Order: sequence, then structure tokens, then C-alpha cells
Amino acid sequence: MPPLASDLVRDAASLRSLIRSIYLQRDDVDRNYRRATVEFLAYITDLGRKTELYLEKFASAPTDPDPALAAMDRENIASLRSFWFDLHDLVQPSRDADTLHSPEILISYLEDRLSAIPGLSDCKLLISHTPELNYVQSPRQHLRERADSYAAIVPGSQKFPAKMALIAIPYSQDENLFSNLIICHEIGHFVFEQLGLEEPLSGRIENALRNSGPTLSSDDRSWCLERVWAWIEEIFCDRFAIGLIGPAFSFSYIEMFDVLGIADKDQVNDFADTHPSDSCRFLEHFRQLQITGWWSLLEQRGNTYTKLIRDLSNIPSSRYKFESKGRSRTLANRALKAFGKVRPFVSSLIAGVFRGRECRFRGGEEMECVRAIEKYLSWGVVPATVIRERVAYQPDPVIIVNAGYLFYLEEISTLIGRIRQSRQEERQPVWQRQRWSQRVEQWTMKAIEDVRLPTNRRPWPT
Amino acid sequence: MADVIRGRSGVLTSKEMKRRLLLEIENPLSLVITPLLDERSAFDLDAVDLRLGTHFLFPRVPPRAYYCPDEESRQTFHMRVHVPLGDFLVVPPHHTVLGATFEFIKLPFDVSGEILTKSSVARTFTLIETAPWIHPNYRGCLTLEIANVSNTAMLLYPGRRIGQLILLHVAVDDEANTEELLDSTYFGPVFPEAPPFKNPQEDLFKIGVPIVKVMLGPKPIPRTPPRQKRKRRTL
Repeated sequence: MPPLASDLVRDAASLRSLIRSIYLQRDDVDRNYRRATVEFLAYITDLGRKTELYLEKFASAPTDPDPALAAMDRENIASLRSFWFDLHDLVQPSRDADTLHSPEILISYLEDRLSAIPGLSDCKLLISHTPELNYVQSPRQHLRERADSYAAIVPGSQKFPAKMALIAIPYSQDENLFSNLIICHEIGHFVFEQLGLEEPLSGRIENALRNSGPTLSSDDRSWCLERVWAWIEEIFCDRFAIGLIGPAFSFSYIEMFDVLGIADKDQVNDFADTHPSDSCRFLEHFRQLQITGWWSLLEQRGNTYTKLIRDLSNIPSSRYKFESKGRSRTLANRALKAFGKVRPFVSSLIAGVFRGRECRFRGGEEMECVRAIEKYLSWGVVPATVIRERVAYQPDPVIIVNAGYLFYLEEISTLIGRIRQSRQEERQPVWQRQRWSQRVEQWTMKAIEDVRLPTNRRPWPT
Repeated sequence: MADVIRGRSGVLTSKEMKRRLLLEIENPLSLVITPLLDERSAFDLDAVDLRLGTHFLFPRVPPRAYYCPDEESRQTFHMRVHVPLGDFLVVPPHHTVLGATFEFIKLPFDVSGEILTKSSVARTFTLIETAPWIHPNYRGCLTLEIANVSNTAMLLYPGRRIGQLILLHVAVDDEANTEELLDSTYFGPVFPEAPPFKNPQEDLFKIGVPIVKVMLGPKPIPRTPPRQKRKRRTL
């Protein structure tokens, strides 16, 4: 039944009320936002205002509208409302991740690193909060499509911001440095989508599945394809993250998801519908670390995390397991087999994306730089300017992050040993370590901030 | 070490500061100031300029009707604010805010420091320090107690020069222990930090005060159920 004019006015008013509750600023007086957030919120505000103007037409509509036109208006209102449902998930969580509640220095640095990759200049990272203790990148394809449909209804509404990665971080990790390095993996998902990497992969995945056994039903085929796609994208993102920030990403992953805690269990070989097993992932970590030279650093240090990466990467692929509810083991193995065939291609895909701009560790001077940074941290000093033989040098931010993480993992006791712990609770090892770890993260972050400012320091020789 | 220490006194010159800035970090005489932006104009003969950092602690309306410097006060007295480079902070007239220097400093073991409001800033009736002394071996960004004592609101731009650091030799003797452990209080902050008070009872007990009055705050008045009227017996 076509709606009456009064129904349309009521629905338009309801939509207006919903939109205003989303786009109008709430308690933003004292907050500061990164450029990406400002741009996104400006987009939302503009969309809200233009929609309000559009909705005004219902106030002056005839009391007895054409039934066909009224039905179309009703449908349009429903479409607009549904887009605001999507935006609702992003707006306040982005506001919450203001510069005080997100690792702003790290994000800005990663944004610059990302923009230096061919085809990704001017890319922006929109950070938001999530209640999950996990990191999430939201695909933008459907948002872009819905924004385009929106523009067809509301005249003058803009396209969804281009080149903007939508990344959610756990609200509890808002100020940390090391745990937030997992963002690099999420950036990988954005890059995968932005550079259209499904194109060079799709033929290979299809072929691999076809050549791995007898013809599959359409349903089984798409089920297998979906899983292989997801696994390939995951290992692409892991390797991309290492290319962006080095082994610190692997450390962050191990720590955040407590991989050490499950390392001895067969669980490390289990594939899930959306993710490959930890043993498979860390084999890829190992390979990427080797290609980029970082493994030589880790090998020299030989810490627990290095041993874990080595042990997991040594697990033969024959031990990988995938069991999925409602599907036969044969089909699951078929997906695994196809994945194994496509997997080697990811390495060249990564090389093609970075085109030589991945961070590398060259040993020699860079090893000296790592040691020098650790020495600064052990004396409780921000390692932004490092003195060697009476010359002031500026280390590279990637070296700072990795040296900072290594120091935090292995050498923090040197720092603690140099500080007089006057209070009773300060003498408890867990308390001590937690307190001084936080400081190490702050000093590392401050060093990244400082070295990105113009000074007359020489870069550390490579 | 004794040769280096002997015969030094008074305020460090910029030449001496620059010499110490190039000493390796494990040398107890080394000085660190980072970042040193626009280095050429940062030094005077006897001082180095420091800039305003980007993080602030604004006093907020306390949850109680008074402020008691005790263990709980650290989390309740201030509201954190971040003002990125390029933006400004408005300090209303006769208001105060805690800020920090943009520079992280590490003092040598034989040097004390004093931070003073830059004269140009002081002439706008903005003061940055009421506890300006910095002990040897200190490291961290310096917390600034900024007060706008003028009659007009003042804009503060992070990244602009706001203070001057004066360094002074401490008359340590030849046998001074350069390996002494570092003090954990205010060790290495990069943001302004609220003071970590102990409870007054704890502080005063150490000097023999057995009983200390404390404010307990308003207590909820227990509600007693209304008395039920007895029904009169009727015959």
C-alpha cells in the first residue's frame, strides 16, 4: 500500500532525528583529531546536512501524493536509513580514537611509510575503537557502493572518502606502541583492496583448485575458494606488515595472541575458516624476515620469540589441519592443497607491492645502531639522538621500533637494575616490569616523534 | 673523572653544554636534550631554550568539595588534553595548567638545572614554573606549572619556546659515586605528570605523628524504615 503524505513526513522526521544524533558533534570540545578523522567527520557532517535539505522536500509535498512516487520516496528513505546504520558503526568509535586515545605518532609514521609505496600516495588511516580485543580493518567496497547509491537519492552528496583505510583498534590499547604494531597487518588488508590484488591472484587460485582434484560442485567450489582467498590474504598481510615495520610485528603478534602459550600444542597447526594456522603464518614470517635481512638480527639475539618463530616455521606443512563444520575432511584438504600451491606466489606479490621499499636490516652499522638505541633505553633516555665518537646521529624509526621492542623483551632488567626502587610495591618484579615497560614504550614513541622533526643530525650510516 | 670534575663551578656555558651533548650516554657527565630544534638559535651564552610540549593536564572540578594530596588524588584532579603542533591551547585568565617541555632532557651526575620562564613569555604574565629546580641525573620532559596571571585569556602554542634551562655545576667531590642508583620518582616522563602523593598518615607517621586528621567526605545518611503505626485495638 503506498504511504500517505503524513506517513512520509513522519518517516522523514524520524530519519532526520536519527541522522542528527549521529553526525552532530557531541563532546568534542577538548578533543583533537588526526587529519583522516577530520576528513571523515567532515564527510559525515556534509552528508548529514545535505540529507536534511533533501528531507525538507517532504514538508512541502502535496497532501495527496502520486502513489507511485510516494512508494519510491518511501523506498529512498529506507535506503538512506540503512546507510546511516553502516556509518553508525564508524562515527563515534572514530571520535573516541582522538589523538589522546590512539597511538598518534605511530599512526602518522605508518601513514607516511604507506604513502611512500607506489600507488598508495596520500593514503590515510582512519583509526577507530572497537570493544573487541582485536584489530579489524573494514572493507570499503560496500560503503563506496552505498555512498554512490546515496548520491543518486540525495543530490550533491559526496563519494565515500577515497584512499582511506578504516582500522579499528581495541579501546584498551589506545596509547600503547608495541601491541598496536598489529595495525600494520590491517594496513595490509587495505593495501590488498586498494591495489586490486585479487586480480593477479584469482586466476592462480582458480587453477590451483581445479588442478588439485576432481571437479567440484559449484557450492563446494565457492566454499573452497572463499577459504583459500582468506588464507592467502592473511599471509599477504603478515608479510606486508613485516615489510612495513620489521620483526616488531611478529613480536607484537606473539605477545598479543599469546602464541607462546600454545606453541607446544597441536593447536598451532589448526587452520580456521578465515585464518591459516600459526605454524603456517610463522613460516611466512620467517621467510619474509630472511628475505629482508631481519632474521640475522634475531638469530644473533636468540631470544624466546626467535626460537618460537624458528620452531613454528620448522613444522612441516603435512601437519597442517583444517576441519570445518558441515564439510567433509576431503573437501577441507582440497582447500588446503590449493592454498599450498598458491602460497609461494605471495612472496612475489609482496615484492611487487613494495618495489624495494620494504624495510631491510643490513647488519654491520645497523646492528651497531640497535645496540646504541638499547644502551640509551637502558639509561632511561629517549634514543632520538645517538652519540657515537662525538658525532650526533639520528636513527631510522624502523630501527628504533625494533630495537625498542628487543630491549623491552630482553634487556629491560638492565634499566630496572639502575633505578632505586624506594616503595615496597616497586620491588615486586611484575610491578617493576610493567611500570618500566610502559616507560620504554613512551621513550620509543617519543624517539619516533623526535626523529621525524627537522634537525641537523646526520642519519645513522647504513 | 676526578680531573674533569675538579675546578669546575658556576653556570655551564653553551660551549660546555654542547661539549657534554656529544658525550656518549654511559658517560656520567653526558647531557641529553632531544629534540634540539633550530639548534643554532637555541643557545645563549649560559642557557638553552626549551619549547612547550603537546600534552597538558587541566585541573578539573574535583569529585569532592576539596583537594587532598593523597594516594587517590593522582587520578582525580586533572583532565588530559592533547594539543598537536600547529594548534593552540587557551588558558583563561588566572587559570593554571600543567604542561611539559617538548624536549626530553638527561642531566649529568654533577649538574643541577633550573628552568625559568623565557623573559618574553613572562612579560605576558604567563609563568611556567613554581618548582624550577632539577636535580642531577634527572631525565624526562620537565613538567611545567603554567599559570596565566594576566587578566586576559592566553593562547599557548606547543612547539614555541617557553623556558630557559640554566645548568649549574654541583660541587661533588673527587670520590663522588657516579654509579649511584637513579631515583624512580618522576623518572623519565614524556608527558606532564600529576604528583604521586602518599597518604598524609603515611608521611607524618615517619616523623612520629601518630594521629592524623583526614577528611572522610560526605557519608550517605542511612535511611531507616518509617515506623509503622500500631493499630489501636478496638474492643
